[in-house]
Amino acid sequence: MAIKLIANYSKRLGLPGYSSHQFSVSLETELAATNDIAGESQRLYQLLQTNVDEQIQTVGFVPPSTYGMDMPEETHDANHAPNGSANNSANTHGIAGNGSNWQRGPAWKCSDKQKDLILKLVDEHQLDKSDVEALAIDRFGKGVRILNKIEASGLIDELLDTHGNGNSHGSQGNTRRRNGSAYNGANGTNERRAA
Amino acid sequence: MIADISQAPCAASPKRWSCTLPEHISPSAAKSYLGCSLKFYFERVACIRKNTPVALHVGKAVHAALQVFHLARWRAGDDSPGAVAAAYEKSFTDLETDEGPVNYDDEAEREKARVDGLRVVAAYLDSPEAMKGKPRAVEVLLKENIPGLSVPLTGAMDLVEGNFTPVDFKSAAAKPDPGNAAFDHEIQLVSYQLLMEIATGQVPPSLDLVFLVKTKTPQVIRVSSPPANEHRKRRVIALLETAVQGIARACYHPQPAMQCSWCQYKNECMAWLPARQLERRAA
Repeated sequence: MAIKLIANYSKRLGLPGYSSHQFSVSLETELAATNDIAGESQRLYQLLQTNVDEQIQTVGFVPPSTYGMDMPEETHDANHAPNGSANNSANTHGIAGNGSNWQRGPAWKCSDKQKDLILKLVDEHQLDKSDVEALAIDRFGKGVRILNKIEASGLIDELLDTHGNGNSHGSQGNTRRRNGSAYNGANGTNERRAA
Repeated sequence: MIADISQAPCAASPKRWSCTLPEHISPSAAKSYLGCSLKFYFERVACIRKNTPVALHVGKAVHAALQVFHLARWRAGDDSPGAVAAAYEKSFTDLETDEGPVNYDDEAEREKARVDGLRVVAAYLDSPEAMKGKPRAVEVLLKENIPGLSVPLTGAMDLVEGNFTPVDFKSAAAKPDPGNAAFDHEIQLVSYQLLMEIATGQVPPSLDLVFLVKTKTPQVIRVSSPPANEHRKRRVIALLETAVQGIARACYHPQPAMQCSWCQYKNECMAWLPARQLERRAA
């Protein structure tokens, strides 16, 4: 007799601005014998949880605090607004997740050092955050804030390649690993490494 | 411990550094230390330079070429065989200049090594193993604190595939035995898993080695091993920590074994005596 096993995994997570998002996956399978139930349940639970966790990291649209109110015309990045501008307050209404304002949205998933370096590169080279966000989405299919450490490392390489005077291990002109030693006290630290 | 490091180009002071924990530990350093602690000392503490073995030189040039290919895939750039071959040739020449002389017997050996490497790169590009999609990361450096390790663990992964499988490329002279290959590279593979788990919060689906075999007809062989369970992880962390503690205590001594036959540090090794005996002799 075939035994039907139906598994469902659902997760709801909170987001800024009283938002939340939810994702669930259901799966139906047949078992040959009842002694498979425990093992199969465990396997399905892990499978579904992994997949839900993977998907739910993509936050998508998160409404700003002014969502639904009468908005002024499309605003620009607050960081690029001139100091003392009369429009400064309006310029803080960027939509989280599209890169126009990284002050909002989900917590950064990369390390603090990586976050600092990304922001430093953006600041020093006066990069448009929307461009950096677009680059992250092009390369990884997700925004800057939700890049994990590995992905953030790749993004930093790209930024250094383009703006860091070739100071990147990934640039085509410098494709070899450093051959230093951490064991004779002569090594230097590499702030691009995920701490 | 060996006393004479006067020829060491980096002029390290063992007294200053050898009794403190290293800044970090990498899988390759740990494997080197556990293989022969004295060779580790000559290479990584005293920094005594030797001519680069030909196989290592070719391996580095092949790695550089694959890196260019994978970066091109990632950036949707020029990943044509011509571009990758050019990167190989450039790296082959640059390495000779940048990393000192290579142990060629003559120009004919150099040419053979160059062509062998190029054939291996071509074999990879033609193989089913060549990355078709977009990699998740290329030559990614990670540094993480691992419970049970006194210093951070570092690792540089050649390639991280879209599903977060870490891949390391190995150039080899002979076809590997899959069972032994995974065991031989256990420290490296499990270290990558430990780093990946912290960096991404996910267990990689597998730990892969891709062997580029320099046989007459080059072969490309992938060896996949399942992610490590808790026992394997604890074992590797213990091995890494053993190396860390040995380095911290400056515990360097000969470890006679088969690999001594082709070791480049035989002369230095012959001069070794325990530190106490050296001090007595000096007095």
